[in-house]
Amino acid sequence: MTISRPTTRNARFVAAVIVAAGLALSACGSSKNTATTTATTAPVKAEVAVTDAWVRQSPAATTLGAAYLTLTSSVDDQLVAASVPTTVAAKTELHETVVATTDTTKMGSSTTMMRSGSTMMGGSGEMKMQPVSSIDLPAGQAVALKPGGYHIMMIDLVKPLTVGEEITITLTFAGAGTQEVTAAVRES
Amino acid sequence: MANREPRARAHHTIPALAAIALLVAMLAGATACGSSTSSQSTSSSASENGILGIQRDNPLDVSAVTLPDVTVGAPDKPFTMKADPGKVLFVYFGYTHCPDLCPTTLADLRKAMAQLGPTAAAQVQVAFVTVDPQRDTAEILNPYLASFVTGAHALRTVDPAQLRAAEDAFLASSTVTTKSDGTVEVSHTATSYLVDNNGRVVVEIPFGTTPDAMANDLAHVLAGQTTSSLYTPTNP
Repeated sequence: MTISRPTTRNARFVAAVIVAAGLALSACGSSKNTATTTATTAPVKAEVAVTDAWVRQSPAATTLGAAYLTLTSSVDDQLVAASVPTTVAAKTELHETVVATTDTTKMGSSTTMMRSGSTMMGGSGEMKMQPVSSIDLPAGQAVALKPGGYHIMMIDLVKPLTVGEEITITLTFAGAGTQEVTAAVRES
Repeated sequence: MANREPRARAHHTIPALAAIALLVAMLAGATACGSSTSSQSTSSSASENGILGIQRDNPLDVSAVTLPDVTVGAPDKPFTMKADPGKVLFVYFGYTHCPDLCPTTLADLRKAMAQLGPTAAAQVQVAFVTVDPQRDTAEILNPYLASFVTGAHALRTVDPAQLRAAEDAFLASSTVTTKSDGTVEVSHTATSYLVDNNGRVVVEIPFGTTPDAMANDLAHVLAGQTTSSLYTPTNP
């Protein structure tokens, strides 16, 4: 684990403290510095392992679809785009489901909870999905695109996604280039 | 102290436990990127009556909520938020242009009902309230719901005040915003609610609840409905 080019002695000291205090924090996806480092200068070859790729069967009368998968990059990288053939959907975007509001006036006695290990939100906080321009992939860390979090959204489906079908998704990474993955359509 | 009724005590501890669980989850997320911290996962759940979802000391009363039922073949009268005798009503506020949360919840409900088996599943009534009535017409809602469960009630009002009143009763909310580029952004409470035949929200199920836990709570509420009431009103 290296911290990229501290520009001042101060920064180097801070970096050393962070490393000494615990690598976990600096390795997190939410940490600003590490995740935006491009893979091109890294000594390790930029490769992304893709697992658990699946697409949700589209409900009747809808033209939106969602694909999920888990990405593990060998170096700090970013997923910057995903696409599917135009025979599947007109457009594909990276999305994230987030908590939109937390209305504390409605919390009542016991309405907000999170259970760790999975995405689980309760209470009256609204959730929404929003497009994201990229998804950080810290080196060696499995990043799951999963229900309630990041997902690949297919817009204007040409036809319904039915169980048994396989969808080819082209993933574009900032460092590792493009990669095709086959995702089976499942009920859930 | 000796007289304290166990279930009531369990209820009173939930807010504190939920707060602790939230804090722990946040800390875990900050230090371990949110990965496997399963040891904390049960602190806010499993009250002594076996329910895994959220229960309030004073359950929400939604019996006064009525909404137009646009289900194919529905009687021409508003739907009331009460389960039929011996049944449980599962309520969700959502919209069909929702590729992630809504289908996840409905697919999990389908799995939960499959786990219950056909006899018990037949006692589960489902009501889906659209928070996006402009786009979610009856023609869209009916086939949409049918692709998850049979017999679900499609509830739709084009009167914003009526929708707001219904949401308020559940302490839910939603916002539909049309952005400058024409895209519609919808945010909504993603909780599911189990309502008994008195019109009380006996369990609130957070988004992300597993089908197993959903099935557990549905079964427990159904058992309560058919034997003695799960919830005894404090003001008869």
